[in-house]
Order: sequence, then structure tokens, then C-alpha cells
Amino acid sequence: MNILLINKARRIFAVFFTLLSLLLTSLLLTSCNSEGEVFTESSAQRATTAIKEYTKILTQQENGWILKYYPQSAMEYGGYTTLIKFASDGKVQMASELFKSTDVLESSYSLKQSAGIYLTFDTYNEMIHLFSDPSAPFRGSTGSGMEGDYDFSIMHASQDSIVLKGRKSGTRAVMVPMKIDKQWKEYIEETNAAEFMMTFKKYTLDVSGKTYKVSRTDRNLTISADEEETQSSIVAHYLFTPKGIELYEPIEIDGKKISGFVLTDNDVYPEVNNTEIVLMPEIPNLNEYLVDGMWFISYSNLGVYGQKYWNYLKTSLDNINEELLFAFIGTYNGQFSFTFNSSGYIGSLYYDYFFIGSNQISLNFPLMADTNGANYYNNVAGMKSALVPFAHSSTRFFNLSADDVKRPTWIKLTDKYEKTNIIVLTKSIVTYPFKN
Amino acid sequence: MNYIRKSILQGILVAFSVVGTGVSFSSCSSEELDPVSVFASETTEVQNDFDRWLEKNYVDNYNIEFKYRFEFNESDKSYNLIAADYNKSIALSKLIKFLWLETYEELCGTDFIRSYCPKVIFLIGSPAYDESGSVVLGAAEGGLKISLFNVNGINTENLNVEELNKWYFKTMHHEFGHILNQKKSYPTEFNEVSAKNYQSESWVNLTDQEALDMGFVSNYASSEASEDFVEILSIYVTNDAAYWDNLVSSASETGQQAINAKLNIVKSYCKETFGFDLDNLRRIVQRRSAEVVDLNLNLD
Repeated sequence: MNILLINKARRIFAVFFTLLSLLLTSLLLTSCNSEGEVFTESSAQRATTAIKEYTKILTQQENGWILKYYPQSAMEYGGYTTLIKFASDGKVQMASELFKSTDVLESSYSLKQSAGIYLTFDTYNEMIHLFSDPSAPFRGSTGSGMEGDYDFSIMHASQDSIVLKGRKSGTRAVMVPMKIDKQWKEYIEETNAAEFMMTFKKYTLDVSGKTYKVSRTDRNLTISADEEETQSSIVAHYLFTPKGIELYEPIEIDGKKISGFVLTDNDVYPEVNNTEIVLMPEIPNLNEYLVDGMWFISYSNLGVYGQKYWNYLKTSLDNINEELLFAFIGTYNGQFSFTFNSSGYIGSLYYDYFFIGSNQISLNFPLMADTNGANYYNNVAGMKSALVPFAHSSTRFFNLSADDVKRPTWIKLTDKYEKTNIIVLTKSIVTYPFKN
Repeated sequence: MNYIRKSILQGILVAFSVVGTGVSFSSCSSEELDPVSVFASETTEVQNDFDRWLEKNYVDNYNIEFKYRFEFNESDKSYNLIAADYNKSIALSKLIKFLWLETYEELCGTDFIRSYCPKVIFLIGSPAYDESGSVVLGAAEGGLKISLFNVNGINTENLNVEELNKWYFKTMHHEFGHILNQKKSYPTEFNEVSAKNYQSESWVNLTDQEALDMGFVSNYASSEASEDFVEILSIYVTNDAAYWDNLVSSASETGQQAINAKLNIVKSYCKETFGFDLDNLRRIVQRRSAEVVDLNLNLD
């Protein structure tokens, strides 16, 4: 063989093997950590230790924790408060601002290791599973519900706060200790009161003299600059506390920080730390309230005149074996109407209206309805009668009054010309109006 | 040539010597086996009365893990699902034992049910809503796990055996049928009876009567042959003889013929492959279904 070739081959092999041995050495050396161990325990032991520690933190709070939770990855519903007490036997007790203030429901919880430590509510509790139930009992559509969580990874836990991250939504939830001497019932009632006092459709926000428009959907405020300026707006998600409105995280407007608004009784809500920033509700007139909301009808509140006509409705429905499930005056599907549900069939009979001053209204039936509404109007004789107390063949004029014109829970319609036609409508839902 | 071989040899020796020292280097992390087991004593879940009852009645008897606590990793992540209610889980565990496990025990002995039963029963509180608008009742996976949905829909005050059958027991017999088929296949002649009529996903569009006339005991049975088989089995067994006879006779002539032919294959499969009489199974199920009203659905 050619000596030149052999030498070349030797050199190539020499280089190859040198490289190979260097590679092997470096691999072997790095696989052995000569720096020493970073942890003294194995990862599984560390998980068990963490779980024991978190269990202690959770169960040590004698009066439980306040969970401030914003379901769904875009937090489109805003935030909700649930009170939770953890026991060392794996059980929890919960109360919620969305339930009766005295309701307490029990279920189980676990702490598990799964790429971090998870807190999971693993048997059913309506108060927490409300946010994830696919049958959508509260908000959302069937099949998805509110897309909330029942599994939370624990990001940080101490006696003062626990920061959680929802497994599905990825949003941050926080638990803070409930004060030892505060009754759960009281906390919930005060939270409900803040909601009742501070919830409106529109507000103005005054930031050191500059005014912004604010609109609300669920528990989200959309703050936008005046029309002249650019179309920019900020969305702030919030929840209620006994003190007022608390934002998910502070926002900044004109360089000023806003983290929440204080509940007051004069309809002016200052920012938590800065009284030069105030949120003021745009309180509708009573007649505007009637048109914008949904005001429920019950037979007992129809007055002598109304009841006479509604007797005909009852007879007509009985004849076709149907039952009235609810009926209201207000805006539904964008139309101001008389809307009813007869054994599951929902229909609307449209109304025209005129505002007179702040507390008077005229109603007129223009012979317009949606499909179901028209169907019932044409085929169920009593449906025409049902409209008579409100307005049917001629316009009616009503004086309006309420328990509180700024925050009405009921509105009384007093017919200006028909003395016996006095109807009270309620904000809260009435089912089976003929039985109530 | 010799030179090349020598170089190669040299190279290999060098590599081995490095490997040799490398071995001693890696042993510097002196990882001894930890005597403390991480699986043993330290269960992070606290055992309660129900867990203890399950240990005795499910694990010891049948080697079944009855998972009533919701675990995200056990669930089908394509659906939005929530946990089952604790008390309803207890009720269901008792119902399953009485109406299903003990039925097969009575029919074929403990060894039979222990060998063939799924090893995991997983409870889910909500139904699983499908895109097509239908709702999933149960799922069996490879014979090892059965998932039961809508546990929170159980009314423990007023046990409705028909509802229980619809949501749970027909489903369990249906899923168990799949398990048996997965262990030992049914004869291929079954597939031929209704070969031309299987609908796959369009089964949702058939009415009950249309399905019957095509030779299927339910519209779901028309989706494919394997579902057809277990629908026959589960519907036959969870209803009484009068119901079955009435159902079949309401089908068209050709429909009846197909159903009866397939039923015969199902019956002989049960007899020859697993040694039990389908009519016997039905008798036991029906008897226990009537007795269930007296069952204690609490832990005590």
C-alpha cells in the first residue's frame, strides 16, 4: 500500500480517536456533579415536605380564607369571592357571595404533586364548581360553562397570602386570611351590599379634573377617553369586598394608579388611596330604569283592574294545557316589550314608549311582536287581554314610583286615567306568576 | 495495513482508558439507594370512612380502584368536566357493587369477575357534552378503566331504577361487553348480519323506530358492529322479557329477523366463550333491580 495513504489514514484515525476520547471524557465528567448536590432530599421527598407545609398553612387559619377568583382565561366575567375553611381531615367548608349568606357546603380537597404542587377541590361543591360546571348554571353556554378552575397550582404560600394559578385558565387567584373575629355571614352580606349599591350600567371617572366614560358588563369596567381623542380604552376586571370595588390588578390612567373604589352612601366613590380620583354612577331616571331593565309580573301585584284581564289569560293557557312560567316588562333581545314564557315557549310583544319627565311614561302597543309572540297573540285569546293593563288598543299613561328611585327593587305603575289600574313590578324574578 | 490496525487499536485503547477513568469519575456522585420509600406511608391524601369501606369492598374483593375524587389526569381533556359529589359517590359505589359486581359474581363466580372487571372505575360529576349535542354516558378504555359521567344527577332520595339504568347500569353492562369482546372476540358472522346498514357517525340522525326497522335495538347500535353487539347485550339484560319482546316485535319483519339472528350469536358467544347463560344474567339483574329500593346508600 501507498505509504502516503497509510500515514494519512493514521492521522485521520488519530484525530478521530482523540476527538472521541475528548467527547467521552467531557460527557462522563459532566454527568458527575463534582460541585455537590443542590438539594439534600430527592424531588419526591421535597414534594411531600411541601405538601405537609402547605397543609399546615391552609389548615392553620382558624376562620378560613377569602378566595378571590376570576374564572376563565380572559376573565370575561370579572371576579367572585368564596370563603373556604380547610380541615386536616381533607374536608373543606365553603360559603359564597353568590349563595345565601348562611349557606355552608362541605366537600373534599387534596394537595398533589404534578409538576408543582396542586390544590384541587376533588369532590363536588356547588360553590366552587359553579365556575367550571359545563351545564352552565350561572354564566356561559352549555358544554363549556364559565371555563373556570378547580385545580390550582400553588405559586406561593405563607401565613399572609396564598397565590394560586388556575390550571385551565392560567389566571392568578389569591387567598387571604379571613379575620379571626369576622363572621362569614357578615362578610358575605357586606359584599352583597357593596354590589347592590355600586352596580350600574354607566359611570363617569374623574381623574384630577379630567373626565372619562365608563361602561360595565358583568364585573368589568371599560374606561374610555372622550370621543374627541383616540379610541383607546382600558378594561378593568373587578370584584366586590365589604369596602367597595377591588380591581384584579391596579390600572394606570394619566400616570395615576387606580386599585379600587370605596363604597360611600352619597353616590361618589373615591379611589382607595387618592381622593382626587372619583367614580360616579350615572343614575338613570325611574322611567329609564323601567325600560332598560327586566321587571317581573306577579298576579297578586297586578291590582284589581289587571287581575280581571289576566284571568282571561289564565283560562286561555289552561285550555291549551300550558302554564305561565314568567312574564316581564323590559328590554329583551334589544327590544322593549312584554315578554312571557309559556311552558317553555318564550315570546315578546313589542311596546313603544315615551318618557315624560323623569318618572312618567306612556306605553303604546304597535301590533308588533317576534314569531312566538305573534303566534300567541293571534291564537291565544287571553294574550290580548294580558296586554290590556299595560296598553293594548290605546296608549296608557303611567306615573312611576319605587322603593328607592336611585336603586329600585320594585316599580309601581299608576295609571293616570284608570284609577284601579295600579301594577307593581319587581326586579327579582317571579316564576309561576299565577301562583305568586 | 498493520499501521492502520495499530492506530485503530491504539485509538480504542485510549478511548477505553478514558471510559475507564470516566466510570470512576461518575461514581463520585455516590448515589446509594435511599432506604426511605417515597411510595409508602406518606400518602398525602387523608383516608376517610369511605376510603376505608372501598379498601375492604372494592380493593380486597375485586382489586378495583374506585376513584371518586376527580383527577384531571384521569379525565378526558377534550371535555369540560367537574368532580362528583361525595355522598352520591358513596351511593353509586354501593349500587355498582349490588347491581353489577355481585350480579356477575352470582352468575359466574368471584374469579370470573375479578379477572375480567375493569381495574379502575372513575367517577365524574357532570355529563360530557359532545359537539354533536349528544351527551357521553360512559367510556371504557382497553378493559382497564370505566368512566361514569353525570354522577351528580343521581337522586338518592328517590331512586329511579330506569334513570339509573339509562345513566349507569346499561352503560356498565355495555362497557363490560366491550371488555369481554376485547379479551375474546365474538364470531365474525355477527358483522355480516347487518353489514349494509351500519351508519357510523350518522347514528344520531336515526329515530328509534327507523333503527328498529333496520334491525338495530337502538340508534346507537347502528353506528358499528361492535357497538351493536354490546347494545343488544346491555339492553336485553337491563330490561325484563316483556320489554324486550315488545321492542323487537315493534320492528319490521326484516328488522326482527336481523335482531333475532344477532341475539342468537350473542347468546351462544356468552355460553361458549364465558360459560354463562344470557337469560340467567337477565334474571339476576332484574331481581336485583327490584331489590335495590331496600339498599342502604349510606356508609353506615
